[in-house]
Amino acid sequence: MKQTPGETITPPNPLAKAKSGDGPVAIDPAVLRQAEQVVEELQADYSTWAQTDIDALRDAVVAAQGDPKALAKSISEIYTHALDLKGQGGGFGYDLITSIGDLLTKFMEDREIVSKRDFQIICAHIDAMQAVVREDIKGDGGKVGIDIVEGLSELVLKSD
Amino acid sequence: MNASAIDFSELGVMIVDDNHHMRSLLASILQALGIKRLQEAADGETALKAIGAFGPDILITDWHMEPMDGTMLVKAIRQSAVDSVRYVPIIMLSGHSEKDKVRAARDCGVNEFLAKPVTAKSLLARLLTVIETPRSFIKTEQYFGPDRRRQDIGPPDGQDDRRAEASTAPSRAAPDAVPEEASAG
Repeated sequence: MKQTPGETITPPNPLAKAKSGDGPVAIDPAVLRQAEQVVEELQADYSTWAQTDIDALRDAVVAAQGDPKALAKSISEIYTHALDLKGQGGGFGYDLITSIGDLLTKFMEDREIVSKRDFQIICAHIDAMQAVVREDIKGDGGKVGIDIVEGLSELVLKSD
Repeated sequence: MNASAIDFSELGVMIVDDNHHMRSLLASILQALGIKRLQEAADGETALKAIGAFGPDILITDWHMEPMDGTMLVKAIRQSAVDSVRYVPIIMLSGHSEKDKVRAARDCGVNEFLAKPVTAKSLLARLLTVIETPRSFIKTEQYFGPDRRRQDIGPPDGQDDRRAEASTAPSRAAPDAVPEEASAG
C-alpha cells in the first residue's frame, strides 16, 4: 500500500523556552557528572531491587509448575521480571545481570508451553542472576561472566 | 556561532513505567539534570488521566506495561483533541532493542527510542535530541505523529523512503560529550 503524502504540521514547540542561543548545545560536563553520581549512589540499593525481581521470578516459576491453568499468566510474569532485570542491571553497573536477563527474555519470548527441561533452564538463569547479586559481581564479570553467559547459551542451544 | 545552553529547570517531564525502581532511577537522573517539575505514573491509563492537568513538555514511557502498554499510550496521546497533549514529545524506553521493535515504536508516533539499560548519558542524549531537533508532525490516513524522515532504519512496509530528501537537510550538531546512540527518530 502506497502512503499518500499527507499534511505536514508544525506544532508549537514547548521546549524552546528551555534553550537559549542558536548554536549547538553545550552541556556543562559537571551536570552530566552530577547525574552519573546520583546513579552511582543508587547502586547501593540495586541489589535489594534486583533481589525483589529474582524472588518474583522464582514465585512465578513455582506458580507455573503448580497450576497449569495459570501457565500463560506465569510465563508472562517470568518474561516481565526477566525484562526488568535486563533493563536495569547495566544501568546500575551490573552488566552481567543485563546479559543473563537478555538470554532469559529471548528464551521466554513467544513461549506458550514450558517443559520440565525448560523449567530447568529458566531456573539456571535465575540461579545465575542470584549468584551475581550474592557475590556482588559488577560489570561484565570478566572471565566468570563469560563462562556464565556461555554456559547458559549452551544450555539453551542443547534444548532445541 | 555561539553555543546554546539548556535550562532544564524550565521543563516538566512525565515518567510512565510500571516498575517503581525504574521510575526512581529516571526521576533521580532528571532531577540531577535540573528538572524540577516531574510527575510519575505507574501505567498508561493513569498517565492518560493525569497528562492534561500536568502538561508535560516531554513524556518518557516504558513499552512493556499492562494493561495499556507504551505503544497504546502513545497512540492514545496522538489521538488527543488537546494540542498540548497530542504534540508532546515522547521518548520510549524498552528492554527490547531489536530493529522491528524500534520500528514499531517509531510507527506508533514516538519521537525517540532509548534501549534499556538507561544511563545518565544516554538519557541526556535523547533529551537533547528532542530539544534541539523539534519535529514537524505528519498526518496521513495511516499515521499521525512526528515526521519519521530523520530515520536510519528504513520506511515502514509499503511506504516511500523519504530519507533521500531529508539527507539534504542540515544535520544537527551533536554535543561532543553525548554521542548519538541508536534512535528511533
